[in-house]
Order: sequence, then C-alpha cells, then structure tokens
Amino acid sequence: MAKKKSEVKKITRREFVTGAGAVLAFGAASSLAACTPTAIKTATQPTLESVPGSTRIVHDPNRCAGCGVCGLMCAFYHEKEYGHSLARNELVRDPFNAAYTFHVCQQCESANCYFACPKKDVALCVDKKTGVKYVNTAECVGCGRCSDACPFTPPRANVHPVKKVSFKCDLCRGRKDGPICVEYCTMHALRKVSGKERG
Amino acid sequence: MGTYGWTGKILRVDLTTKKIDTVPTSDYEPEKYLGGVGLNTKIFWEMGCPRVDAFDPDNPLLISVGPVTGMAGPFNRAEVCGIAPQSYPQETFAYSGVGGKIASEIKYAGYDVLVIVGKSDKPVYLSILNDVVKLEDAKPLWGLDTFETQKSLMKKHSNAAVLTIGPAGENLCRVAIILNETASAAGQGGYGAVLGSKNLKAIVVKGTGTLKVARPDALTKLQQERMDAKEWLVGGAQSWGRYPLCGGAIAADMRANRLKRIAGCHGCPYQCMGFYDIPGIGKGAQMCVEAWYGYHSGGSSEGYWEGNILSQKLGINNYELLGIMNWLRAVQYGIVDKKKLGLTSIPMIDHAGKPQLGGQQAHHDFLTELLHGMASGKNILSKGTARAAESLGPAAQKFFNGIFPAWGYMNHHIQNVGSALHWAMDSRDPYSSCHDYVSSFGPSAKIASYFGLPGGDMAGGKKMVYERTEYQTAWVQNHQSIKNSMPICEYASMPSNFFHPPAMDIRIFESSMLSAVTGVDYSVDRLWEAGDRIYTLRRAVAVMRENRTRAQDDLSPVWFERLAGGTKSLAEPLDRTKWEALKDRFYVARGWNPANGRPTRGKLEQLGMKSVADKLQNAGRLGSK
Repeated sequence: MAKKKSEVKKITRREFVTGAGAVLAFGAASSLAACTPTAIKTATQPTLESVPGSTRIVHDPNRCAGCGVCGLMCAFYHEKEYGHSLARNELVRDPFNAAYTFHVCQQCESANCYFACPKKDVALCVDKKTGVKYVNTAECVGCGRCSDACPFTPPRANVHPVKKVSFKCDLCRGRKDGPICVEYCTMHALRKVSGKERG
Repeated sequence: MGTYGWTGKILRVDLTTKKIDTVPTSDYEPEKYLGGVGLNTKIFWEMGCPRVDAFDPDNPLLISVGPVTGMAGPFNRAEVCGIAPQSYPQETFAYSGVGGKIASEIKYAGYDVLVIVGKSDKPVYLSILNDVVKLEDAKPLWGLDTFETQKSLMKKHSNAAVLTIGPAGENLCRVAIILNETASAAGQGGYGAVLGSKNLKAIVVKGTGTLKVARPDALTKLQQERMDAKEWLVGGAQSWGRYPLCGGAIAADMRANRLKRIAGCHGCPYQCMGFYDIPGIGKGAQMCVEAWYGYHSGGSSEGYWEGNILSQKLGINNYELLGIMNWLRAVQYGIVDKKKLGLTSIPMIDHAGKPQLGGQQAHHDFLTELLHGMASGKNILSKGTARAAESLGPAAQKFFNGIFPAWGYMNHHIQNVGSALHWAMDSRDPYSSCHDYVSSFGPSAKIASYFGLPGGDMAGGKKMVYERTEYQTAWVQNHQSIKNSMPICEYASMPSNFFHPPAMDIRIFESSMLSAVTGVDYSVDRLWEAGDRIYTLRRAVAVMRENRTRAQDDLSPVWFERLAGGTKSLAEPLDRTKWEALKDRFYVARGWNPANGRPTRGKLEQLGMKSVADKLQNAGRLGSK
C-alpha cells in the first residue's frame, strides 16, 4: 500500500531530529510548544469507550538530569542498535538551563493513530488490559498514516527508516521488568502511571 | 570494518585548501589502537610526527571517539590530541578528553576521527550533519563567549552539539579550552588556542545514524548485571563533581540554595555534575575541577561561582586557574611583585580554605582583571603560569615548580611514588585517567594485591614505597591508555569500581564491553596488550618528535628537597638515589632502554609495531636492547 500524502505536510521524526523540516527554535519554551497536541480528537472520531484509560510514562523534569539513557536503552532494547533516531522517546536537552523535555506517546484515549490505521486491530492494536496502543510489526505495511495522524509534534509514531514498519512506545509490552526506560533511569525521573491514576 | 564498534570513516578537513574528504579507519589498525588517544597517536605517527609549533597550521587537531562511544553508559568521551601549547618547557604531543554530548554526535554522524589541518584565511566554523560537512562563516561569532556561541549555533542547527572556543582561544591564550555545553571541556593542553590559531571558532555536529552491536545479548547481560548489582552506574566519584569540595559554609550554601539540578554527559547514568544558578553571575554546571575552586572563593558562594562561570565563558582552563591561585601566594611571600603580573589587586589567598581578606568585592575585581586579561592575551599569564613564572625570574620559578611538578601542569594527586613516576614519564598532567592511585591502589592494599601490585602506600600515614612500584606505574599507564582509547569515563573505570573478584573487576568489565560491542574477542590480556602498545607508541612519538630521553623523565628538582611553605603533596621529598634505581627498573619493565628511555625493537615487535621500530632506527632513535 502506498503512503497516502497528508494534505498538510507534517514534519517527520527524522526531519525534526535533523532540523531540516522546519525552523525549530531552541529552548524550553519552544520545546513545550512543540509537544502541545494540535488536536486531541476530531468530532467525527469515536473514542475507545471499551478500553480503560491507558497506562503511559510520565517524566518529572525536576528530577531529570538530561542524560538520555532512556532513549539509548529504548533503541537498544527494541532494535538492538543505538541512536536517537530509533528511540521511541526523545529527550530534548537544553544544557544552559538544565531544562529537559521528554517526548513519548501519550497513549491517547482518542487514539488517532489507531483509527487512522488501515489494518487496525491487526497492525496497530490496542491492548485490552492496559489500553496501550502497539504495533504488530509482522502485519504493519509502513504506510505512515499513524504517524500522520498523531496530534503531537514530532509524531510519537514513526516509520523505521530501514525496516519500513511503524514503531512507537508500547511500554515494552511483554518485558518482565516493565518499560526499560523507567528501569534504567537512575534519577527516577520516569514513572509508569496507570490509566486509573492518570484520571 | 564499519559494521560494529567503529563507523569505519575518518573525516579530514583542510582549512587552508577547504578540501574535505574521508579515509577508511581501517588504514590505522583500529582493532590494535581502539580509538581516542590510541587512534589519534597512530594517525599522528603516520603523519610523521610533525616537528612544528603548536600554532603552526601543520599542527593537526585530532578528535577521536572510540568503539564504545554512543552506547548507553559512561562512554561519551572524545579525545583531542595534537601539539599542546600549554606544555612546558617544550610543547609536547598531548591529549585532552571532553564529555558532554559531542562524542556521541560525532559517532552517530558516522565518524571515528576528525582530522583538522591547515589554517583558514578568515574565521569559520565546521558544521557536520551526517555526511553533509561544510565550513561556514564565523565572523559574527568571533569574540562571543562560549555560552553565547553555542546558543547561537544550537538555534541555527537545531540542538546540535557544539565544541567551541571563547575569546581566550581566539587570542591564543595557552591555557584556552574547547568547551561543549557547560563544564565539559578539553581543558588541559591549551587546545582552544590551537583552534584559535586555525581561525576555527567551533565545530557543530549532529548525527542521526545508528550503531549496531555485534553481540547484543552479551551487552544486555553485562548491563543488566551491573543494574542488578545497583552499579548502573552509581559510583562514589559522583560526589566529586556534584557539590563544592571545599566543604564548610560555601558548600552548604551552594547545595541548599543554589543547586538547580544534577547534570552530566549524554548517555551516562552517573550524572556527576551539579548545575547551579546564582542570579547576576550565571547558570551552568560544574565538575570536580570547578568544585575545587571553593578554596579560593573569596569566602563567598558568589566568589566561588564567579570563578567557575567566568573562566568557562571566556574559555580558560579552570584547573590552571587553581594553579594560578596557588602560585599567587608568591606575591604574598614577597617573591613576585604584583605589578610585574599586571594586576592591580590581589586578594590575600589562603590555600587552607579559610575566608580570605578583601571579601567578595575584592575577589570580583581581581577575577575580572585576571581572567579578562588572560582571555584578551594582554596579561602575562595568558601564556600559562609556566611561561609567566619563567619570565619573572628564578625565585618565582622555584616557587612555581613546587606547585607545577612537570610539563607546565599543576600538581594533581602526586601522593605516592607511583603517581610521581607516572607524572615524570607523561607529556602532561596524566591524572585525567589515572585516579587508580588515589582511588584504589594507594588506599587499599587489598585491591592492589588482587591486581598483583604493591599498594596501600597512602593508607595510614603515607609511606614512600619504591619497591616494585615500577609495576604499579606500568599497570596504570596501560590502563590509562585503555581508558583514553575506548574511551571510558575516568569516574567509571577505577579499579575500585565493579570490584567483585574473581567474577568481575574493571578489566573484565572493559574487555567484555569491547568484545560485546565490536565482536572482536578482547581477552583481558589482549586488552592490556593494546594499552601497552598505545603507551609505547606515545613514547615513540615523544622520542621521535621531542627527542625525549631519560634526563627529561623527571619532576622538578624542588620535589627532591624540603621546601618550607610549598604545597608538595608527598609525605617526604623524593630520594634521588632510590628514584633513579626505580627508573632503571621501570624502563626494563616497559621494555625500554634504561640508558635513554627509548623503546627497543624487541618490545615493539612483540607489540606488533615493526614499522615503528624501523622508523625509529632510521632516525637513529631506537632503544638498543
């Protein structure tokens, strides 16, 4: 299936990382602006009524030391390779203010990515217990619609540059000790919160 | 090459001709020289060890990362090498490590080494975005401080990592640094002035590439074991950088009221720095070097912080500033006239950390005059304390020598005979990578004896041990070379870390890490041989370029005397007879000729360096047996 072009061009993750897609100002304020969703849900779109509010990872900027081990361990656990471009999360580091902004999938209840997927429940699936949205890579065709549909900038779902399948945070689904970013954060700045706690 | 560990590419930039190209890393046998200082030294050797001055366009600026750079862990370290303008009495081929974020970005951009030669006709900066490499106009940046330069370039290049110099580097101050972020600097060596001499203001790097790991399961196991042992990666050394080391009121105030965050390098779970903010002075991080400044702070947190922030912004080596402060006591003792130093006011300085006369305002006035004078190149101290002391006469120089034991660098933990010998043999202050003495072998006979070395000579009232000390020094020299070439952070790689014999020790950690990442089987012995090879090649460079001989392998004569009022850190003065006998044994242990300290053919061939032996022989500088 060919990738459908969005009417409004979104910045891809790679372009965001390299700064090629848009003028992205440096600094905490602009980083915060960049992670504000443009639209949480559209009027015509159903919400996932049957699924409880999902678990997600939250970041405490006051504890964070900005090391970025979260992203490195994420890329290595999922892809057996290192590099920011393969991480499911991203830490933006402002070393002159010790201000660190963390971008990761919010596991939205409205789940634009899920509804945009042409093979939903087969390729982009929802874990019925936790509400986590995850990619079944065996079925994903890499059309990129989940990435286009994501309300965040940069998008929290992206297409792997080599494998051509979508990847996003799935809270290390199936990992015995939970999300690896949380386990390896020596500053205890990352925390997994359940949907209930999230409210 | 290029699959695991090493990216396989070396980027070469000629600032004179503007030619930019790449050569394969495999040309320089990276499996034998690893990366960092090892690979830089190999490249310098193959360039023919140019016998030029530090500010000559032909002085190459070499910046290497290594096989484990870019991985999670204390591995975000790049090593800068070249002819160092800070070294004294002659400029030496030396090295300086830098953390922050720059090393990982260089690796993700796809390079093992940056080789920068020549001199630009106008100010430029080098921008590297993966394989797009450009020289861009730096005229608007010239004159800006290191923080302003980085902020400006990070805005333009979307959060790239920036290595930059401040006004000190531009004005060829011989103790100028190259800074990344805050508190991460290639500090020793004066390499900031080498950039300045090349009209190169900054290097901007952004990489989006990925790094494959040869044995991911082995690496995962190694990481998880350290995690489960709660050593991922928490070490005692963290506190060296997080908080002021002076203790007392300043440390208490800084920690309680001025500390904004814990900080550190990219990818490292140690996070050994403290990030402080004092309105009116500035925000930034500090590490151990800055943390020492409390002893000279004018008695206030403001004075403490101003010394750190101002020297970082102007691009001046903070460790040298500590040396200057110690040496300025020569003024108090009437040995030096402050007018000859071009300083109108010098606050009374008490190295014991007591509040100093003059107070905060006097300290501020003094710092401003001194540091701006150094950064502009107008003050005599911008040549470095060594050259300033020389020009002020023998008394000033003798006082200087008690504080700066060799090579023009301030004393750094010379606390036992082993570390003194290590200093005598190096080409700069070697302590960036040999806290092994003060952290492990000196205080602990148990750790030392496990590694088969004499030890415990700093415990229980400091003993001066010469017996078998040559083995300890040679061991730490090899380990220093490994640390500098993987490269791995000093804080993470002391023998007291991961000490769970016999299952795990620092050698096993380092060799397992390298093997897992590269897929090359580095046994402990093979890794140690690499360390031996790298240290020996550094010696060959010194012999070839600087005609280094046994006579130069020494500390200043002051260290053999009793001197009232000195800051010599040894329990006793060195004993000349025992010292020379120790040197005899040391050269034999290293496989160098005891008469002149030159490496022998037998040793070089044993380490797989026949071509090095041939070149030394052609130059008439091979050690005879």
